Amino acid sequence: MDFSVATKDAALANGQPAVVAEVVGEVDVYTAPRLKDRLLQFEREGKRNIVVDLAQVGFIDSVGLGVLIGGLRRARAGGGTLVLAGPNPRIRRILDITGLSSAFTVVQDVPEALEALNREVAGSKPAAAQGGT
Amino acid sequence: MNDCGVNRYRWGRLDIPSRPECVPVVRHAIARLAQQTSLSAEERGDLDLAVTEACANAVRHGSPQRERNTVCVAYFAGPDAVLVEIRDQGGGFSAAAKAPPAAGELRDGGYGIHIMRQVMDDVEIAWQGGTVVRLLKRRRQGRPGAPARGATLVAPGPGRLPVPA
Repeated sequence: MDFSVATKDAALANGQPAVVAEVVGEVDVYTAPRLKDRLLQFEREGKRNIVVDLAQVGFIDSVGLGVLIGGLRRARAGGGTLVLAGPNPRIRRILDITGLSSAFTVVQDVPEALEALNREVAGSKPAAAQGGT
Repeated sequence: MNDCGVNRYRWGRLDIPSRPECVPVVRHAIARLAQQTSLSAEERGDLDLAVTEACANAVRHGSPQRERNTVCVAYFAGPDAVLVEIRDQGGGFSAAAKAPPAAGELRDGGYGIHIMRQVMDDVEIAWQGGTVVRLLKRRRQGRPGAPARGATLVAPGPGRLPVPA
C-alpha cells in the first residue's frame, strides 16, 4: 500500500495557526521516517498546533508511535500540542496497550481534533507574543 | 469426505536482507498465511503486529552490518495456531530490562517488546548466535471448534521450529 502525508493548514479560534497531517497507508519501520520528516518540518516552520489524521491508516507499529511521541514532545515544547484524529480500533488498542491513550488527546475526526486544539491552547498567547515585552 | 488433516499444516522460511522496506513484506506474507488458519481477524492482526515489531527490532538493533545482515523468519501454522520465529545476527539484549511503560508515560522507545507480550499468547526471546524471538498466537478458547484448554502448539525438536530443507 502506498504511503503519503498530505498537509492542510487550519486556524484556531484564537487566531493561532494549526496544521493537519493526513496520513495514508501503513506506518511502520519503513514509512515512519517520512512522517517524522514532515513533523520535523512543522517544527522548523513554527507550526506547533498539530492534528495527525489517522483515519486512513490501517496499521501502526512502535516505530510509528515513537514518531508521534517525538512530534508531541516538540509541539509541547513550543507551547502547542499534537492531537490524534480518527484512529481505527486496532490503533486505539495499541495506544491503550502502550499507555499512550492517556498521553495523547485522541478524537474521532479532524473537526473534533481542531476543537480539542482550541480547548487545549485556549488562553495561551500566540507564539509571536511569547517572550515579548 | 474424510479429512485426515495433512494439508492443515504449513511451514516455511523467509530470509530477508536487513532493510526496513523488507519488514512489510514479511508482515503481508504472514498475514496471508494466517488467513488460512482459524484465527480471527483480531488475532491475525495481533500476529501481524508482533511479527512487525520483532522484525523491526531485528533490522534496527540486531544487524551490526546493516543491510549485509539477514533476518530469518520461520513459520509453522496449524489450523488453530501460528508460531513465528524471527532470528537476527545481533549481539542480543536484556529483555528483562524492558519494563512495561506506565500509563501516560512518553518513552523514547522500548514499546516493541511490551506490545509483543501483550498481544501474543507466548513470547520467547533467546540468544543463539543472534537474537531469536518466538511468537505464538493461538485461536482463542471458547469459540466453536477451538482446541481443548491446555492444548499447545508443539514444533518438532526442543522448542525449535522446523526449517525446511
